[in-house]
Amino acid sequence: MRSLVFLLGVALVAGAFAASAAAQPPAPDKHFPGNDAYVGLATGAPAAPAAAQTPAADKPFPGEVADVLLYVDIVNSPRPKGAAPRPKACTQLSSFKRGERPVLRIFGVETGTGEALTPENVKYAYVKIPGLPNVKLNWGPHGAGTARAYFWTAGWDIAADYPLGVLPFKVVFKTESGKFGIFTQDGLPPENRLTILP
Amino acid sequence: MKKLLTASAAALALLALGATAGAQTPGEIPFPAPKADVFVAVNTATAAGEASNLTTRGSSVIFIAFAADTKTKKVLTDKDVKYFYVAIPGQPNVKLAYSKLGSRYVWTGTWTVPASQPLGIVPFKALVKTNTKRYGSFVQIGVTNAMLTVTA
Repeated sequence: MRSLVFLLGVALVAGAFAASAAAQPPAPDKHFPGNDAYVGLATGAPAAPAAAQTPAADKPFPGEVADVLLYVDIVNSPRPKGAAPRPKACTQLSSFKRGERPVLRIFGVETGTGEALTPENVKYAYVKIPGLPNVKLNWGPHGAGTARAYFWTAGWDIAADYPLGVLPFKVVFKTESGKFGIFTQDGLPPENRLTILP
Repeated sequence: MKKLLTASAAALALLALGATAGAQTPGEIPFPAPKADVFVAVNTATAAGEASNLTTRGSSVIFIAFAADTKTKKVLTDKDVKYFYVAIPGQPNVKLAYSKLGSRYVWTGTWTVPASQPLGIVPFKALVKTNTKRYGSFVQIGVTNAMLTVTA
């Protein structure tokens, strides 16, 4: 009996710890999109299906039908590691210099149910960048006050020797129901696509 | 001992419930809403086509949008839509046209920022209604530095 009570006590403490960790709000002095590095391997994430990659011309963007729909924009991180910070951080851009840190901001829905993509219905989500390990998309709160909202973000540092020009990144979501959402900028005008400058 | 055991078990059950709820905390409302009939995405760009949320008086803002019916999964074209426009406070609606951008079809509209436009954030919205009477809307994520802003 003593062992049982002890075990219950341990479980209770562990549970309390987990619950408080989950409920812990972000530190108030954190800057968007966060102080921590976002780059990480999407471990165990299989390659995205080859199908959705290159949309045919003369079709609506992002495709004629979609299982998962994604809004994607790109902002500049306030703390680039290899370049001087811009006068204003977190603004939307398509061109970044080497050393800067683009951050993708994403929200979306799963069609059929119409439900927003959250950790509840997303199995994995990452950004595929040529020449780099996949960058995991993180779910978290951004904005302040009543405008505070949850969505997905991923940022990475552009290496000093990263190839210049259009960077054909790919956003991949897989839902728990097995649906894929793929976002690329294929077909958009070059000036609108993510571009790396010297 | 029985009482202690019962109390511990009850507390454990409560925590388990809390932990389950923690995975989907009530406060974690996904942007822009937990559910949508019509999904709408709108990006802004300069007249030169570069993605940007910053503009100045006299400049043009290009709205680039797409929308899809989440029930049928169909991305909306000009054949599916009754209206699709951007609403800007104090300004006439900017009608979006289904048009080719690059090699793809999207919905675009141009807003020329008037000289009288107040400086600061432009809280625009995009609204769409399908021929099947389903509605969708887009609002900007509430991160002020990333919202459409008229600068001096």
